[in-house]
Amino acid sequence: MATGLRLEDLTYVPFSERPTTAIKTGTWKYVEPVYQNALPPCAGACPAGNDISYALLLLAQGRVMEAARWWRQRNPIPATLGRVCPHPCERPCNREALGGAIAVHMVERFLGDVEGDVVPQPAPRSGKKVAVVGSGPAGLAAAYNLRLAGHQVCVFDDKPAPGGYLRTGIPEYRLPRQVLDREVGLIAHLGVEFRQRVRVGREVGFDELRRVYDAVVVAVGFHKSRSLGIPGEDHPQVYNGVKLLERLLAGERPPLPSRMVVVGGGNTAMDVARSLWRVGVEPVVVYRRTREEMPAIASEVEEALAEGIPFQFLAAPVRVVVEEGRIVGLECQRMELGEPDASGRRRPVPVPGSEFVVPCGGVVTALGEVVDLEGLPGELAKGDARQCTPLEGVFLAGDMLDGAGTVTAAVGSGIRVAAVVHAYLTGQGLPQVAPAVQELWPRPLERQRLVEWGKLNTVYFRAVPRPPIHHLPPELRRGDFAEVVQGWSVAEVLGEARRCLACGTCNECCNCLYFCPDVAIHRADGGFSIDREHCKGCGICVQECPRSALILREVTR
Amino acid sequence: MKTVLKGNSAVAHGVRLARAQVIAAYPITPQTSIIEDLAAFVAQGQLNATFVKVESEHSALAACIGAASAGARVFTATSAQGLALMHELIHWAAGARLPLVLADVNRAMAPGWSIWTDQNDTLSQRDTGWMQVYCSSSQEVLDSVVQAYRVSERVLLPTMIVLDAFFLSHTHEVVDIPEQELVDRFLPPLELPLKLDLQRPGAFGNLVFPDRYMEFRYKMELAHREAVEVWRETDREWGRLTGRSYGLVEAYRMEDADTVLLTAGTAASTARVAVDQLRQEGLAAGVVRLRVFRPFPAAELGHLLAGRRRVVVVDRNCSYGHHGIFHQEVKSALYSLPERRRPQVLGVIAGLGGRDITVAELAQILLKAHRGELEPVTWWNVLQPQEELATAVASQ
Amino acid sequence: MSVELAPYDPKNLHLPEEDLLRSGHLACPGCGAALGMRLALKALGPKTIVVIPACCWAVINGPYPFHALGVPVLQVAFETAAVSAAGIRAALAVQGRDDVAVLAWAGDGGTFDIGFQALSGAVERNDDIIYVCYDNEAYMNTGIQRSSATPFGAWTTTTPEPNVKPEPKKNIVEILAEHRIPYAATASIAFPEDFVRKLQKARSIKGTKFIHLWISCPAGHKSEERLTVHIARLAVETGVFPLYEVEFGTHYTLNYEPSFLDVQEYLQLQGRFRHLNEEDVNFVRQSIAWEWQRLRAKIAMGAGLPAPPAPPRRLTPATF
Repeated sequence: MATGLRLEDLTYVPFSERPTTAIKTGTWKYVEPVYQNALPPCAGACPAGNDISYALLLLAQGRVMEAARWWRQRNPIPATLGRVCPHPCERPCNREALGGAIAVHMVERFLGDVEGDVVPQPAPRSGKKVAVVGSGPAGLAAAYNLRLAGHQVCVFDDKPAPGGYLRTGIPEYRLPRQVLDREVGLIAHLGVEFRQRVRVGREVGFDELRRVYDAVVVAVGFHKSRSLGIPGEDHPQVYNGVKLLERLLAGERPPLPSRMVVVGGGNTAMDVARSLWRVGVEPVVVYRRTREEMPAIASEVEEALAEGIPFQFLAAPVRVVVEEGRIVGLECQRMELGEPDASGRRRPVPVPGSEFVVPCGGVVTALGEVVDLEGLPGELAKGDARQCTPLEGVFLAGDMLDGAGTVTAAVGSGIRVAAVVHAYLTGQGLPQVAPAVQELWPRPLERQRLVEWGKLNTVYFRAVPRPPIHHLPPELRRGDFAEVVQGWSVAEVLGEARRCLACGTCNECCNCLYFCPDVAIHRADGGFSIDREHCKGCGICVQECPRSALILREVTR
Repeated sequence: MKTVLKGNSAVAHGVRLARAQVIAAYPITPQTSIIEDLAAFVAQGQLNATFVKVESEHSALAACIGAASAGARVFTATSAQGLALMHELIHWAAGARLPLVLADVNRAMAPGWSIWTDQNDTLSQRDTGWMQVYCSSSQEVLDSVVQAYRVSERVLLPTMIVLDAFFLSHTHEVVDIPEQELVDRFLPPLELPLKLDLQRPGAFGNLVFPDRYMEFRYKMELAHREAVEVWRETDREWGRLTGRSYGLVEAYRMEDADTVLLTAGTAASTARVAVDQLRQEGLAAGVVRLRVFRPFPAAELGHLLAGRRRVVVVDRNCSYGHHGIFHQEVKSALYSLPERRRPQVLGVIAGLGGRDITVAELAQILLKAHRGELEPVTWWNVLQPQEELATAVASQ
Repeated sequence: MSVELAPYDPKNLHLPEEDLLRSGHLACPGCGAALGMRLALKALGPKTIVVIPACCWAVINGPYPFHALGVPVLQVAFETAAVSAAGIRAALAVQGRDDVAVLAWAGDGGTFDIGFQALSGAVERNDDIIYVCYDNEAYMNTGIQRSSATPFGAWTTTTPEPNVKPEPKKNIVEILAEHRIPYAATASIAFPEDFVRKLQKARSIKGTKFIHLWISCPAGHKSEERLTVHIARLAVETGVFPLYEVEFGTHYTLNYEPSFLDVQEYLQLQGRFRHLNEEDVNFVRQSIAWEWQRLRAKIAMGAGLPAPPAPPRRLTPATF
């Protein structure tokens, strides 16, 4: 007999020995579980598309080098971003209710600072050449990702050293220069060529670039400051905030009035005020709305307040008061908040007859910046959803594309444009829209499924407090540009990584494995596999997954 | 060693000699002294067994089934209501093909309460797949218990050893208790082909679909057929060792008998005396005692009864609505004989609820049969309703 | 870069890895009884003999010739789980084997109702068995008929609307505690570590051990299959089913302090309670509170008692 059964094998009673595994109960199901990584809120909110949760998982496992490498898969300047990014990732963090959001910026900063073999290997040379105009965060990200894709990349920049606004606009107490230098150095080490003090449109013609290079990415950012538009504005002690900051950060110490008004509520205003405070000036910040409406990073405002810098909220400048050729004050008008404007913030409305003078010897404007296309074609003023310009082979990135205004958004824009340019150069055709940064992740993920709080099974989570972040005491900051925020030790970072709920990413917690009534889940290389021949599709694994790393889908037969 | 034992004690000695390993039982009159004796044997170290003192007969048999499934030699005993309470598990034990031995002291079923003998309790279990042995002496009780383990363990069917309440259970007789060493030679330790075994972790009793259920029941039937020969062999072997054997049926003065009284249990002993008396009066009477009732000894009966004029079956039982049970069985067994060799088979229902069946009554029955005066079915010595009424009125 | 940290352990549950339940068994999707058996055998391991009376598991184990477990199984009559297990223990005892756990695995019908006599007998004799009642609160195998484990207000096919069950559930653990059973405990499939610990503790104790395991039954509770563990957890968190253990029948230990979520959270996920109105639910709320008062009083009483006196060695109850 084919079964090998003999007569004597027939039992005299129903004695059952054949494993039920021969019964394919998988045919019963009409839905089935599928492991599917989904978008955690942090990554969903990250303009640079950092794969935060996976790197934290690697860190939690103690795989520090791998985590550091993982973070640099697309992002060339994590050490920088960890310090300057307003970390929008932390706002929607599901950990918030259970001890406080994960301090992603501290982890990013730590991983960025990890020395050693942290930069991925570039792809083999493609033979294509790309020019990147501007070495700010968008330009650096574009150059880095294009170089990793195998292209030859040359960055043109009019400043003495690469970094763009990171170097000219962000004070060292937030971003020490050696951090920036190291990250730029890693990019250069990868083979990206930097041509500094070359302004395209002046030292090099734009058309010539297009002729020599297969593609051109323009990422010159916003450098031209808006003006106040009030009487007395042309007084020599009325400074352009961006320019003044650039001089201070370059080490210049021009003679300045002892008391200066800084007009504005953005990051430039904070950076100017805090830098002036460090070089001995007494700054006063004048802002026409309230603290709540300030576009500056909240922690920067807090630090400025901690440093004792006074603020005049709900005050708009109307006239620079000049006496005997010297500025003696800035006349302001009280404002009150009216209806919301296009930005969603309440519009400041002047209160008639409320004028008052803020005494000062100088004024610094920090009202926001716009693009400066001097010497460049007008077609660059507007890019499309693919980050393309009307000019063949010319692409845009950074603020000049979207005006997003943060370093992180600029990095994301650079990453995206690199993907578009790569598609262009390799003849894959241009996409309908530039891919979202999350689409460019090095691991598969369902971007449409955002793992919000309601999708978690929070039974398995316990509240664990976020560790404190140490700051240089304000009394030690004056007269010095020493870094304010102190980094975390490796133990602190690993502890924080273990606090991460790993939303949407399987961390092998084994709930699915243990709760399956059908023993249809097995360990597989780097995770679990579902035995579809026996899974009955009950969905307990999906329900009991704390982090929504599985879904139920209909079975198609 | 010869001694005087009542039937219940003979059961206990048989169980002791068979080296039963697990005993589970619940007391019921008239079975009680069996388990008292066994409890004493265990307490005194004369029997190395675990005695599970359960809270019901149902649990008694359940414990036996559990223990036997794990490979132990087990024993239980009961009577009447207790056996009826076991009924579910009586089926179970046979279906599970466990070689249990159960002693049932035949007792009439309630209501009204009766502690005295009749066979309806065991015969209600006729169709469960158990083997049944009806004994007529204390010696036979002891011998049958030992034989039953050997046969049961050979064919993997349980055996019920049956003895009449009081007439046998509580009657003292001389019994030759065999040596342990002799019994050990006769009855090797139990080795079940299948049991609960960590090395072979299977499941007993899972759901069986219609495509296979019947085959298991057919194997039970085949085991019963095989058991007929195994009983003969075993009984012969016991006879060789002890000088005592009983056969599946026992014949008395049957050489030339033309009127045969067929019965089971202690009534058969009474019948011998009646036959002896009738023989003296020149009547060619004989006795056939049905000992092994399941498997049914059809060949033996056919051989013994073919060509006789008439057979009177005295049943201490009744299948209400259709005669005595042994009567039906014997009649149907003889129907396959050629017509000219087929005896007339008459039925008498007597002695229910412990009513005595005397020598005189049996002699009268045989005589009536011999004269052709016996109805095909007779309720012996029973008051008709009018007579009962008269008796009741008279007693007031 | 190296750092001194405890090894990373993402597991929420720490359970023995070995599985003695096999795929392909015949439990309904989302069956709590299958999960319970899986956990039980994780706890007890391969040196276990399982006794299964009539109950869902009589079917789940598979039709002949199939077998879902990696340990021996004896299917027994409905009302005999405890005593059949005791019989096996008696056989093992005469065979000189004391390294095998005998696990009686019965449903609520086979425990609270038809099997109660045999269970009470086994506990009184202190037979050395582990008895787990996996309680899905009705005769589910026969198609959802009420048992004495069915809770107040539940719909079953024999307590159809509007005549839903008016009686509360029988408290089996306390009844057995009054037998002075050496060890009795409640457990839940939603608390696997607790269940596994209790089984392992039970295995280490001589005599009768009883574990009352609450399980969900999607088919009988009219609940979603995926919610099997979730609802079992809610049974605990709402206070409906406290997790505790009792030693010597007198010393109570509460194993988990629930968050006392409103019982409506639990009831609303089960169709069998759909018809309950606010008055009914209020009664359930009051009953939970009252039962907890009793339980806490028992805990307090036990805490004030010494361990019971040890019997003379000669007369230590036979545990085979």
